[in-house]
Amino acid sequence: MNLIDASIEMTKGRLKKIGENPDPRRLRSNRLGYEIELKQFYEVQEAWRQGKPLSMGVGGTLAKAMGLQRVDYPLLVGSFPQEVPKYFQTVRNMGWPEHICEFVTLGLAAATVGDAPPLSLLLAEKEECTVATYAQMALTEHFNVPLFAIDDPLDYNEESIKYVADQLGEFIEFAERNVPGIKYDQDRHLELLEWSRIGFSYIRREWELRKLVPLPMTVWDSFQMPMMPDASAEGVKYLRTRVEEIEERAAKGVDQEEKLRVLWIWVAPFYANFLGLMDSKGVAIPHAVSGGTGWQNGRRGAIGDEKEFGRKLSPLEEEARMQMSWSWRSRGRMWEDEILFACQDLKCEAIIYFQFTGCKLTSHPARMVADRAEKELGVPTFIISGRSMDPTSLPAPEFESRLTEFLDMVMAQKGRG
Amino acid sequence: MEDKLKKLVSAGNKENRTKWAHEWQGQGKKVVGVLDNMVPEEVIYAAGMLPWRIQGTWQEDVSRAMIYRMPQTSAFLNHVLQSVLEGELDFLDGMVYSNRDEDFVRFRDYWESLSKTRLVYLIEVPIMDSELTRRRFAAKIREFIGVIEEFGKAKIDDKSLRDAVAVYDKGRALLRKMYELRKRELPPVSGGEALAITIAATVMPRDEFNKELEGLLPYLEKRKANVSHTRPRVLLSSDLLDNPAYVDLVEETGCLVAMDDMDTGSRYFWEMVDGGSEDPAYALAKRYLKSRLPRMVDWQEQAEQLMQWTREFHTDGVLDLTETYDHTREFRRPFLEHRLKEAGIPEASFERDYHLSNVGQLRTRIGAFLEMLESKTAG
Repeated sequence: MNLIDASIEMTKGRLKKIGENPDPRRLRSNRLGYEIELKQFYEVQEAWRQGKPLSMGVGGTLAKAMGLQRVDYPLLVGSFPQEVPKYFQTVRNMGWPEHICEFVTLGLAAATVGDAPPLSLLLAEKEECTVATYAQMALTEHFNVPLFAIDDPLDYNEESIKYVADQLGEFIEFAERNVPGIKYDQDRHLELLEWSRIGFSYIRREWELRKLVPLPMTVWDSFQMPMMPDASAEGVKYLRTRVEEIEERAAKGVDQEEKLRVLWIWVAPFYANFLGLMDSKGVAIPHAVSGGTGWQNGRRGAIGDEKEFGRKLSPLEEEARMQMSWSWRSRGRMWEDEILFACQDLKCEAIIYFQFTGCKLTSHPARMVADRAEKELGVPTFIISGRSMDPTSLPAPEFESRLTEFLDMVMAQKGRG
Repeated sequence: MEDKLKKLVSAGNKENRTKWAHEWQGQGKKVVGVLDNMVPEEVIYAAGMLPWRIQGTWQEDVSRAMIYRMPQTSAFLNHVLQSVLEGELDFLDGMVYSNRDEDFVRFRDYWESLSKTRLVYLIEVPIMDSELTRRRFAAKIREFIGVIEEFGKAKIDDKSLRDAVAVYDKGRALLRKMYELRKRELPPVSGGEALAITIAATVMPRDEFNKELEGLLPYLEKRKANVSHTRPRVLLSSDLLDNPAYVDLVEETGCLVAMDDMDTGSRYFWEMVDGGSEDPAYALAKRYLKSRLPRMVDWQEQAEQLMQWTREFHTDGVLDLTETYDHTREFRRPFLEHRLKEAGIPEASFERDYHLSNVGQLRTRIGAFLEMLESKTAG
């Protein structure tokens, strides 16, 4: 199955459905988000057809400024659960470990069997996510393409950002030397970063709206934190429209009762109807932690922020700052602190911690987070382990019944049963 | 001399391994646990403290650790945490480790919350060796020097650091001499003994270890190891394997482990520090970036090193015993297998736990590999 062609058809189907039979509870602005996604799929399809340089691992804005088409393998696979068993088998055939993050390995498996475009360049960034780094190194062998590795430090500070930016400079030289068709354009980079800066300001505005009780959006719209979908005028328009729509809903008032507010960490078993379950019980999810909470609420890593380090950063330093602001890639304490801050700031009353198989960075701190949340905030945590695309380790009915049990217990304790 | 050798071989045993640490503390000096071999121990030694390599408990039960740890995770660290929770490591004054992988990075949280250790320090080691990363790592080593100085209330200057490097380099040279003798048809030490001696170096004061091994080398020149097989000769590859019983198991199955590619074995001491460098921190950085751990991106150099050892130590094949859930090693495996196949070097890879377990199953699998090697060499 050609995952790009299939993604195009799927997105077109979604847009048709939204156009013909929109769900009045969902945000209308989702349409703009899907239109951007569709445009991006077409760009990858075109680049694949024309043999243009394709890459993974390079940040979106930098890739564009270098004339590289970025491919996001993990996102491609997530939409096609029927293909998952085949890709698991490919992982085994390749000799790679299978008990690790499926987001990374299944996407790579799709590329190795030709369901996703082949790469011309890889950037393996040591983000402490060894799975991503070493899977990319393993993939270099398969595609026989140049690989450039970047050493990401643990600490988020100016010195570390400069260190990564220096390496990105070396990466650009390497890419221009080794891959025909690549040329870094700094002016274009600055322009893209400016779009991102404006886009992120809307993301931070949305954070403020997520503090509202009741939450002015459904769990389907709140579960995925908005990302900068595309460093462009369209990307900014989408984020602005989304925020304005949420503000409008908040101003009008929400007529749905909110019985509980839950902070979700980190991914989820996407084969289960957990969002439907939460919605039916009147549970809101103001935030699903993904590690980007720092730039989502403006506490860390905001593009163009001159106050953070007392100066304007160069374009490559901005790239490095974006990359390094993800809290899961740092020391455990930063991840824990960020979760506790989000929990308190967004008035969450319980935490659901999905211990994602193979993701050691986010799964190990589960018990520590639970202990601290209980002690420091009086908030209970439900920890459950499983995979996101493979229901064999945690069947959907089991997950849903355990989740229900926890939610009922917390609501009963609060007298909202 | 045989008694002296046996004493050195058993220095890293469960019963003996804390002996030197306690003696050191008895003299009013500090002992700093070292969790992996990316930590420049010379810095600790230069401050008059004893760097002491941490092992996990070799017992099977890690139930207390698993309350905190997630499944599918480093068995080595599960066993170390079990030791922490059982109070076996309470005597340590400090603990230093590297960002070897994500498991190690997160281990700090456990250690800080659950142990009594006063100093818990992570030294950041880059994943590749370049001028930029050497400079960065040298800066991190200087930071580490500052931390150790403050913790030990001792001054580390260039001279004391160079002196420590000299002691450690001497130990490395002695271990290499011992390993050179393993090239012989019948070497003076078995694979298990060689690993045990290397581990002894990590729990004893290094000058004392050097003295012991130096005194033993003339005896080893003449000694013939008491091994059941001299063929096939196998190169054993693994990481975080600190229990010589695993090596004994391989040899008892019917081969000679003539060389290893382990971070607890050859890769612990193979590279020397450039003593002539003006900046000892930079020299240390250069040396430790040549660790050849799978977490380093120089997989090609790692494969070349392995193939070179295979030739020099006349081994018939490579036996890889990867600890389950060691993701970096698992990802490197297909790459390495491919390179070894291209070079015509037989290879087999089996997963193992940290503590000695699944002995019957491992014996059967290893036995099948050895049979294949035998038929290949006979043919």
